[in-house]
Amino acid sequence: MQIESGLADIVVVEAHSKASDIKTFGEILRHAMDPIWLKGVTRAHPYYFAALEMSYYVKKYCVNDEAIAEVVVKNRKNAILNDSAPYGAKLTVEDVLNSPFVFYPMRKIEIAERADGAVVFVVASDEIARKITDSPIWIKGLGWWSETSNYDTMSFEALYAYKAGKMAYKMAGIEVPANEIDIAEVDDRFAFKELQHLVALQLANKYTVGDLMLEGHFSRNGSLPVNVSGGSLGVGNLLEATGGQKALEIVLQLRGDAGKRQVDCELGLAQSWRYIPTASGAVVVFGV
Amino acid sequence: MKGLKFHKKQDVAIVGAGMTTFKRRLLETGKELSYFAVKQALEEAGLDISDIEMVVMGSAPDAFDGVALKGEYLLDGSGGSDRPYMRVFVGGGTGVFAPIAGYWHVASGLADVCLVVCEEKMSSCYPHPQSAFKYIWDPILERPLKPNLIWIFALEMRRYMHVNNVKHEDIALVSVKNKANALDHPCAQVAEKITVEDVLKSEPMALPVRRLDVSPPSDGAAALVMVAPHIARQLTDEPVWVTGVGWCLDTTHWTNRDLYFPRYVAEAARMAYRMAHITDPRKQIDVAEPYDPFDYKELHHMEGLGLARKGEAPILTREGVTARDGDLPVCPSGGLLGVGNPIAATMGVKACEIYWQLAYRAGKRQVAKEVTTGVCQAWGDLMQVGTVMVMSNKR
Amino acid sequence: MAVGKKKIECPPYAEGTPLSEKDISEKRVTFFEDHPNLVYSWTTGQALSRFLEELKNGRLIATKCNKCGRIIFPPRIYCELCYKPIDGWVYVKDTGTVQTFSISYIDPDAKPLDKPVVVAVIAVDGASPNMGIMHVLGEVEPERVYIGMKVKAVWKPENEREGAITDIKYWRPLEG
Repeated sequence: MQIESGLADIVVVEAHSKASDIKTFGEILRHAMDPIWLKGVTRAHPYYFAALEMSYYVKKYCVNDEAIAEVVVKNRKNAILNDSAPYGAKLTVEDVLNSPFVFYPMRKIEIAERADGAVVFVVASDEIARKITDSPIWIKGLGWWSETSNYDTMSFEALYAYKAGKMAYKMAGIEVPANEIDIAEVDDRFAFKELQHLVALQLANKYTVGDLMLEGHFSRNGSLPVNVSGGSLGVGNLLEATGGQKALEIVLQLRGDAGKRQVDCELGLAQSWRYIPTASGAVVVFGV
Repeated sequence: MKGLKFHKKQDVAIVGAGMTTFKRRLLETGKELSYFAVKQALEEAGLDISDIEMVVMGSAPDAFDGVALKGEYLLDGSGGSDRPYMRVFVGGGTGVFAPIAGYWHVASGLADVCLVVCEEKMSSCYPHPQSAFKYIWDPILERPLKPNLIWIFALEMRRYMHVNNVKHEDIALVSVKNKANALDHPCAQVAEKITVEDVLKSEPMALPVRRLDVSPPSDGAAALVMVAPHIARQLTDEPVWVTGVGWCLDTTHWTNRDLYFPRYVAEAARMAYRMAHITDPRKQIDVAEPYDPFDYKELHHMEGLGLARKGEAPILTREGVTARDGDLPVCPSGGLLGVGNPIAATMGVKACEIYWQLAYRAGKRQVAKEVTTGVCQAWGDLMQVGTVMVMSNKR
Repeated sequence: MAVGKKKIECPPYAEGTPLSEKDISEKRVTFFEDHPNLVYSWTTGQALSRFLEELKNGRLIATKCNKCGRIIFPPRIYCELCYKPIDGWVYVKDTGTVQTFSISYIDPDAKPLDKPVVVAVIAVDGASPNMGIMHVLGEVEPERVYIGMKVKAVWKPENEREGAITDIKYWRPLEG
């Protein structure tokens, strides 16, 4: 916006996470709850918010456990090829299904562990970009949306991702996202969220997304690679820098700089969510 | 700033504003306060919430309201439900930074109608919001010394007085002026008629700062509606245009700077003035609302904004130039010293006030002279950020 | 679009219901109280880790940038003006000059103190001009402090130092 308002030609954007400095993460999340309605209900760790949503989502769309387990398996396997990712691991669906529940129906292994990191982007107007480099990556479209702050009236279907996606696609001139997007990085800080976001972003049908996941449709060699970087499950929950990490991966992929993880692509999408207890999110579509 | 061409997609006009009362403690929640302010702004603009395309919320530290991710918590009260909504925050500078962010939304062409809301609920931090300020300090170099935030202002005030050879009596005149101006403001918290004597005898906090030199913590909210030219034309014959914006941050290492002059305000003003084609601020600005959380700050910022030469601001005040019927009225609303200091919601006495003055709707606070161009400024963080906005009722 | 040219007389009208301290302390309004337990442990980073180590040894250390020629204090690993890594470490003296000062009567929670505290920004000798830190003054009457006064750090005894800024107890005037 600053570039488009003519206020600047080059803008640097920075995001970082120093999660390791926080010793009482649950308390901080709890601190974001509505103090009058929600906070006093219980002192339990607020991850139950995500578990409540998962419970609803899984029941409504008949998503089976294996599909969610496959998200964990896929992303942590992808992370092995990512030098920046601390949580790469070779897991099987059985490993995940046998692991303990922490907030039923959510298993501990489905929750992304925290990590520290920083991401910086240099964004420039088209005139300057063409002077500086032969291969700029263009922001084709962007969108952001908030549903509501009230937990009881949220859609539980990632409506914020749907609307933000619609805004970004309109700007980018994309009509059928599932056909046109080559690669995507979506917020998977809770494993079921990856499925939910893919549906909301119109990249999969809501009843078949689980089957597609199990068939390998979203794996690195599949038709629509998702979270090739390892996603947040593999790279770690970077708190507010999560969106930055997702955008970074898409930019690297489009530039051909993704090393061993490289996927052939021309149009990529990065999406992130504002985490519990919010219903806000943003989407950016990048292209060459 | 060398190559900046300032070529925007469309101009930006303000067509409505609103604010709640500012008081030490209000019953309403932050959501309710935002709702009141937005309701007024929409009413003045003649719009409905469905006309609003995007919302920008400005609110200072989460520690005051006591809710982390405060922007999310406030979003339904401020009209952000089911639309693109973002929260911006640069400490005390948010009062003018939020409208600047609103400016980006419209000037970039991404939105034609953008609502800007600012809210602050300092009373939630009980018993005194000062306690939240303990955490602004560097945890390693400064917090172990158990500082109170007033220390920084006292250190800066002392330096200003020393370098410019200014007496406390002259600085106290600002407090007297603003608190008297605020008697005409319906939302004022601490409006009263005081004298220089009263200020100099008031309780010492961290010398040279005394109680009547300081603005109080407050609860409150304010809102503005910013629109594109074709929308402004449909709504009113007299929109107020945003002609220049600027902002600048200085280093967090505030002990490495000479505190007598706010160069971050001067830089921000330079950017805004260039955009607005202002070459001689003293002559071309008709009315100003610099940030005045402390009386010496009004003088400090006047010099930063180029409205006075270094050391000249106290002289202008003493001579009555900055009074409401003077040649360059400064803080005609009563500012923070008179109306209250709800950090980000000070937009109500800064940006909103200049809007009301330029639209000739400030009632008893209206300045005596004819006004075309006004400037509002805010400041914050750890003595770091200057945010400046220039407005005009002529395009 | 709901268009309408409104004529509002003299905005704003002040909405809001003021409360007093008594309303809360005498429980005339309902409220919810919460004490969040937020615990952090901050890493000191590369620069301040070394700085704190040196404090244990009773020395102050700064960094230098060869490009702009500044001796930077407190030390950092980058020169923020040249935006490049610093070029080396340099010891500075534990004497300095008062740039500005204040006499504080309140504590961090805005409650009155028994004895006023004199706080100052001290530009440290050996560093570039204006490179100051904030610290407290001692062994001096508040009325006798002035800008430009020369001061020296008073350290805690070696066995009591922990590698914190409080290893310097306070700064006292050099003359008299």
